[in-house]
Amino acid sequence: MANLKELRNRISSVSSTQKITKAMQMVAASKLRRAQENVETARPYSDKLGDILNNLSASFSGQDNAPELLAGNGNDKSHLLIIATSERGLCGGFNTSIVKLAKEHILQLKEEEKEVKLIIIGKKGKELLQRDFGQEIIDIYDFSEVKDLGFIEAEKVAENILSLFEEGKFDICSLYFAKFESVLSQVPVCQKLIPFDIESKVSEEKDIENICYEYEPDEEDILKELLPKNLSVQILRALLENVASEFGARLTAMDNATRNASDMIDDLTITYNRSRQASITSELIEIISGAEAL
Amino acid sequence: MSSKLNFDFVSPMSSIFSGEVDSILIPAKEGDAEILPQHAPFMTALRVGVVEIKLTDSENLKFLIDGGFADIALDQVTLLAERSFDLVKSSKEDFDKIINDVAKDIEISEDDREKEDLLIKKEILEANYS
Repeated sequence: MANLKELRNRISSVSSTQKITKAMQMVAASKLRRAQENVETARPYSDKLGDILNNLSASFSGQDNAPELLAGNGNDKSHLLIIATSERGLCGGFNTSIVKLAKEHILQLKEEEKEVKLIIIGKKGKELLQRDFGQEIIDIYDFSEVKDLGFIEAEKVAENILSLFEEGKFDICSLYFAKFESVLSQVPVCQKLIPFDIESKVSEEKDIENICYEYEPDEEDILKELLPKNLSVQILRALLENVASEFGARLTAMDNATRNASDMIDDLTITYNRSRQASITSELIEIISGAEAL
Repeated sequence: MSSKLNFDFVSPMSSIFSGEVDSILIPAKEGDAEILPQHAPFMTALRVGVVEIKLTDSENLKFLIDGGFADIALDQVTLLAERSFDLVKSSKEDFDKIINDVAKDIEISEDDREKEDLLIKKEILEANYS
């Protein structure tokens, strides 16, 4: 039988842990609502921008003079992977699932003898990837000081990517983040940034394709301005989706933790009561048998 | 024939305006343009300037933007801008704050074109200051 005092201590320590997980769960729930709103308000902008880009790129398809950001520079030797993760832990499998997807792709690319470079957003991603791929990491962003992730942060990352692309440091760029589907499910996804991924939407845009647009300034100049903007917007969207996913994952993880803690408290209380009962019974037996012996 | 335009004005962090309007004045790259219903399909980049939305004859909305894009097709106008500032509804404090910010940006700016844009921005703000 376990020591009574030991059991009491364990019960109190589990219940204080439960209080923490419960508090974290509630904080995550309220932050999740705001993050979700942010994702939803950001969606129309990136959707509209995507529509415009699709219209424009249709007029460039099959031509040689398309901008490099749209069509790529023709090589696929060097890959840049941007991996967006969270700043804090205790959010279930959120970070590991993103990193796992990225790792698979990294190993695959290495097998094909391609050059791999990594840009990591978030402390947790750095912790998970530094040991295996420390040499490939060329930049790390730490936004733990930033309260509300917004356009400014996304622009910072996008500017860096653009200057690297112009210097010819990589040929293809893709972005890893967790797409927020619901509180219960966050799916890690890989999105191609450079070259621009046109196919995904073309089929539903058939009726608009027929419209003959007038452009001012001409198509090429508009694209030159639009493409860098699109990059920042895609990154912003990824960041916002990531924030919402992080809170969703934390909410579920902390809900589980709270429930586990209360199961554990139940078990411990039963053991505690049993051993208390046992010690009382044995004391009683001692007294009775002592009395009988007289 | 419809006499109204469907207008969506969105920024990355929010939808600023959405609804039916009479006409819209936009600061296009190559000169201001007023968009009326039945406009030909038209796509343009925007510069720093004021977007004026005419809701009815007497009701106007005015926004300062940093540049962006406008997409006009079939009486549907979509305007994308990263930063905007409401010139009608903002309070005096908001004006003070943004004018201050712009003045600071002008000081640290090294790019001539950027500086020019910021100066225009400041002028517009001061002209609308009430």
